[in-house]
Amino acid sequence: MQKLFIEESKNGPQILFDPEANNYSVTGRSFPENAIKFYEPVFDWLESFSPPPNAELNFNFELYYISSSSLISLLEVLRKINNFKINGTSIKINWRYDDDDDDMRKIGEDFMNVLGLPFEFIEN
Amino acid sequence: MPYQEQNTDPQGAFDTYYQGVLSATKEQQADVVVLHFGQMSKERVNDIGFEVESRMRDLGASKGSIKRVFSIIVETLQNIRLHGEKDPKGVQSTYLIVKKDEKGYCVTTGNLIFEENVPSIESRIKYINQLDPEELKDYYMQVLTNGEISHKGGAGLGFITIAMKSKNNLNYRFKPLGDGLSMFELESFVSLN
Repeated sequence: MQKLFIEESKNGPQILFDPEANNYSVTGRSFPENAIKFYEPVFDWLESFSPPPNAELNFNFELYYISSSSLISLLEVLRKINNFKINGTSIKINWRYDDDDDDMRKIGEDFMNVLGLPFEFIEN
Repeated sequence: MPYQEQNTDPQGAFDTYYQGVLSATKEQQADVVVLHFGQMSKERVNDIGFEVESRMRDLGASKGSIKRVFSIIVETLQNIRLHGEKDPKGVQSTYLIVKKDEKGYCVTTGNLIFEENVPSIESRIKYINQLDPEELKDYYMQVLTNGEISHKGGAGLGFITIAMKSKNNLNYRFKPLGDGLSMFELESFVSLN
């Protein structure tokens, strides 16, 4: 499957989902005015991606700022990632945040509690 | 002259109101961090966010308070772009004042709304203001997990997020400006740690 690449912009994070390189990452700031529209290609990509059998996928999230409408879209992204578990894929989320950014850590914890996905919290 | 008698020019009334807010601000012992008056474009939201960030860094603000003020500004301005009304000439007039005094940072915005929407906005803010931090977090989780995006693209988390980042009550004011339009002023504080 072709990789997904969205370049970082002023209000949108860089998104790279590259199965060949086994690299899945969302990095930067997320506050596009229309978050649903921004994340639509990500939803589409995740819906058409089927990981190889017994795959172990690590998704790296390193976000500096997330607006409230982006939160809803990111939760949806994580729900779609969570769906891969049905096929026996093992998933881990690496949630990186600035060392003094408690709010960002809490957002990760909230996502973890809502979805029941394994999260590793990494302070930068 | 009472405002009711000059009810054909909401834009003029908006301008006058802003001039009043501005001169009151200048009389206070507060540093003005950023000012905006006029049309609020998508690009302007980004630019103001980054401008405030760099000004606050220059003022020696902590990373935490910069992020909180940045967040409040983005949520407030995106709210206004999504829900704010336009004047009869089609301009979505908005003002924003970010100021700093010895207690902390204060973000004030003003924009036009339809008078008929005053009660629903007021009741949402009142509801949020009477929640303690734990209740506010529960309410936030509830809206987040049931998150439905309105036809305008809003997630219903704007005021909640502003209140959580501010950690203070939200102050607000409405003032009828004529032609069924009202001024909606919102003020949030970020206290210095």
